[in-house]
Amino acid sequence: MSRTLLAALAAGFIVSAATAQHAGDINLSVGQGAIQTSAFDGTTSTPSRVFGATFGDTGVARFTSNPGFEASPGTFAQGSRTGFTPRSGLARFTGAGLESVTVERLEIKFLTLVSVIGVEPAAGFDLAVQSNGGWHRHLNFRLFAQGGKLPSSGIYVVEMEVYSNDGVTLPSEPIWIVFNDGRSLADHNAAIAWVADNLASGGAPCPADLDGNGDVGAPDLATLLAAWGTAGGDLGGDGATDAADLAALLASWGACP
Amino acid sequence: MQTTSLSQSFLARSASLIALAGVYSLGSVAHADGALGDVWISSLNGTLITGGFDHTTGTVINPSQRVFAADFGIDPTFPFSTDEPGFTSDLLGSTVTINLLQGLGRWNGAGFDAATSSLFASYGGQDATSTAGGSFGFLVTAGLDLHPEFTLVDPLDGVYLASFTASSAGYATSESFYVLFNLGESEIDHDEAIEWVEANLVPAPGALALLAAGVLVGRRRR
Repeated sequence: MSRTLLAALAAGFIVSAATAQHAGDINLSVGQGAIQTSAFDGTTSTPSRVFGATFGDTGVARFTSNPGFEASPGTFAQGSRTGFTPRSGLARFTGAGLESVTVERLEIKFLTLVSVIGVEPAAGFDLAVQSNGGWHRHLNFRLFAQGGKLPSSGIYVVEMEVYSNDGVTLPSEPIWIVFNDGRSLADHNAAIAWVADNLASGGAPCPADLDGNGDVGAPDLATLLAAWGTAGGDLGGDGATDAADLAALLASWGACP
Repeated sequence: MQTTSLSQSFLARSASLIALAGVYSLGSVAHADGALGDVWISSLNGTLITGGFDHTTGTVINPSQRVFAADFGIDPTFPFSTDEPGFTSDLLGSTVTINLLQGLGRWNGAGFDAATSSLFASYGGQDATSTAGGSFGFLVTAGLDLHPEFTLVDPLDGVYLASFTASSAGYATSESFYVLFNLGESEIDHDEAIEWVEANLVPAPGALALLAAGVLVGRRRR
């Protein structure tokens, strides 16, 4: 019996590293003086402004606390706050575009702070940056309908920007979260693609364009090299300008998309 | 064993573990660093277990951790609330229920008194309190990173001991795991409380083996 027990105890210690647990979060970094957003797949970050989420993903109908927001330590000033500002009302994907909702509302909540987005956008809110300058937060998103009705299943889209109140860092470009409530994965992916192609493409991120002239070229390379080791030329969101950023800049060489 | 002055309800819940603490004192005492991380829920031989999880690296840092730490007031807007620790699990497709057990302890420097404050926990519209006990559940999906909200009701500064179990259909319920919430006390006090719980409420693996051997011997004698 004791041998079995000891074997069981030993087995308890043989646990391989789990898959990174916040893949799908909105990764935040600061570059070119503004908040940059990217999608984190567990190992790498890809600049992105469109993010997917699924109501009911943890078994609670019309509720999700995803995507979370993740900024590495050192991203924001200690004592500052980071938050979001809705930029449009809640919209529903029709298959070929977006339409305004009628009775559906999106509640975004963290403890006692609440923002309810309906036909019109509402004020957002911010939360304190962690003592290490990081910011990892999961807001609670809930879909409901006015008048005690149940919201129609569908794919809902909200547009927002992410800001810091540090007085220095500019807000992000607009980002979109595409929520799926009861529709197929294919429909969800189609909506995400539509938003990316029709709403986010105009300002497609071009983080390597450090001087903002629409082209990644020698001046950008010079800027990145001058910022080596600091956050000034950080393209990957890890808070430092390094070889990975140099490689990303060279891979983006030429006109921005 | 250190002296405690626990309330009847808190005592009833913890008495057996505390009584065993003296027996298990041969086990090594972990340091407060052992309380780091989110709560990772897995299974071992059909029983749910808890471990410590580092969400930054996405790795299990301690596969047999039962003591966790959190601080109220991480945001000045919510001085009596926190959304730590988070929860994650590798039991994909399972619905895991976190049970907040009745009773809340408050560190007195040498043990835990019954707290006059209570703990309120909430996730996705599911609420639980340490006054009545309660639970909240969630479906485990890939990349789960769940952060329930915890609020101290009728708050007083102190280090608070909340007890939980995890349950899920098809598995035996986990042993209790503990979260030490700090409101306004020093990290030294917080660490002392954590170390006390690690030493007195959580038997070390070596002590478990001794217990198993003792049970075996006892059965043979009968």
